[in-house]
Amino acid sequence: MENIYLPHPAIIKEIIQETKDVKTLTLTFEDEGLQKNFAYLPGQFVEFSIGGVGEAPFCLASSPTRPGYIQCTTKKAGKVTQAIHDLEVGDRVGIRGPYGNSFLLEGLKGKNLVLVGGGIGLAPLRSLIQYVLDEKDDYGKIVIIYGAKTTEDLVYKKELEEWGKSPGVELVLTVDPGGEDKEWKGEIGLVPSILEKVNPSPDKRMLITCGPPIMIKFVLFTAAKMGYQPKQIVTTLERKMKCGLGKCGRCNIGRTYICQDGPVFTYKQLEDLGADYLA
Amino acid sequence: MKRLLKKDELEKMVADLMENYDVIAPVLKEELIAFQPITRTDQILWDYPNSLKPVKEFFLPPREVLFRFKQGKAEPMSPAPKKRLIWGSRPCDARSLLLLDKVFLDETKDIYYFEKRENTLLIGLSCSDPQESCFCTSFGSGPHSKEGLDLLMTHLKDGTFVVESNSPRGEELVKGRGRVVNTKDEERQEKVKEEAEGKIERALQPDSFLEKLVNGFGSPYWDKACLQCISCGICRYLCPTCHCFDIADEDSERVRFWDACSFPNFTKMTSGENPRHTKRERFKQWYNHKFNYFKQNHGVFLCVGCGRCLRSCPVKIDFREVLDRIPAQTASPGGKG
Repeated sequence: MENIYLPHPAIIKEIIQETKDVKTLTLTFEDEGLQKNFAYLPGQFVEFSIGGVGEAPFCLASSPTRPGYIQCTTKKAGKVTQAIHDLEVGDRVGIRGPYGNSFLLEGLKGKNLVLVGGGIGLAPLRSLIQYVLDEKDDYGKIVIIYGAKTTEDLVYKKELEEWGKSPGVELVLTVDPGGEDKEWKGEIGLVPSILEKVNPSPDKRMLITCGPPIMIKFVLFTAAKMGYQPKQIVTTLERKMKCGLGKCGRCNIGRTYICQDGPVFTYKQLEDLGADYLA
Repeated sequence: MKRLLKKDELEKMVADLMENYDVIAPVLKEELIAFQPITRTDQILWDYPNSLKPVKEFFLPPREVLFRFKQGKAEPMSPAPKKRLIWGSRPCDARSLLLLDKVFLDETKDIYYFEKRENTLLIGLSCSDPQESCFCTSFGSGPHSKEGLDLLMTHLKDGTFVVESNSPRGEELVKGRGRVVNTKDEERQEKVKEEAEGKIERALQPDSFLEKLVNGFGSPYWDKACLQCISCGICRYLCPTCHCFDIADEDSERVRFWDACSFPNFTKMTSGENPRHTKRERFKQWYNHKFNYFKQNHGVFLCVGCGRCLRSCPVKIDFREVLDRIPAQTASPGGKG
């Protein structure tokens, strides 16, 4: 019988310093067979282990359309992420998963998309962006609205440029007021207000958002105001998770376990989940 | 098959079984009733109300090492214990394991729990003296329920026991011991059973709890209901069906611990965000998990009516009262949650 809690050894192949406290790690499983067969979808997450320190859930920031490795982007915040930031290329860590559902909900294919990200919340969206760019024929026009506190806090800077140059993609970057520097050519303002300003039409479009909870909350309200139906709005939730398998008992909203039935939900589903989320 | 055994015949049976099994039985430990491994049959308590702690700790230990790390690689601990036999478990505790099975033996089986379940025989002892705080009959069990047990022993109060097998493994244990029961024995057993059930005075209406919890999810009732609770977590720890756990690393070991939904850290994330940030939300979670969410997800209530939460609460919260007093109201928005 498989041991569901067993982390699989993976080696760090590359470390990208995104900001002063955010790093992206590129990993490959030591077991080549596992690396080859590790199937996942944008929006899913893994439990990332450092033996003797602990385990924490992170979304997969890479896309299955770019096989051979996986990537996680982590912000130095607690015990496990501190230890992750101390790792070097060649170090061994543990990965188990993937867990949860994905952004590729029914009804995403064939649609125009607007992706709204804040801070490190761009990580799960990056997986989806790479995926739809690689499967471009399946999707319509793409608007990406991404903001951070300051220009220093924007992640995936190089890739942002590439996305901006891709045909059919409109990229709008913003920083919070006061977060700009002299060279800044993007917008200045909070993500929900920039979304309203850009005003992508809800016609045949899905809006997918991830960021700090307060940003998500206002993006949901703003999108509703702009005429998006609750089933056209998609987000991914963050919860404390220990097992990833619906057993440890802490990530539920009502009867729904975010680690299994989530982390991706439409606003419609969140409304149905009810008071436990909206309270 | 039912057989009649005298107490000394049962003691002989335990002694024989000790050759092949680790036998865990109720004993008196520092004036408390506790299940623990025994080495002599005269340690066994034959007449006791119920143990302070349920038997869940033998399947989901309070602290359990899952892995040892060597050069960054996780080496699983061998989860298989020696063959074990729990002697004298109450029917309510036996039922709790069937509920835990729904969590740990679902499509993603937990190997640590699975192997302990597979390797353990459960010998029950009917409850002849239910307490005021007991209400097992409201939750599909009863003082003489065989559910989940390999054997059930019922004391006829004269030093003899009716021993009823409820599984092939149980039948194997008792085969050839004592004698087959006669009609008179069975009549006496029935009388003992009726007496015991008669002592459970209070019948709860769990289905009404579900309705009230769903409709009263956003009720201001919860603002006051939670005030008395000191969030100590003892009701969760002593509950035979509470199973929430934490996983953390200690030096080079990955360890699983019991955790409790009454603690703020249970849901608090590193970012500081806490989805259940008030005592009200945490208090409500326990009731909803047991009598709303689990029922909706698994078709049964996550309670066996053992009453430990009532008996052990340091501030005397009676969960029956908490549920009874939820104001009946029509559906509130989001009550489906």
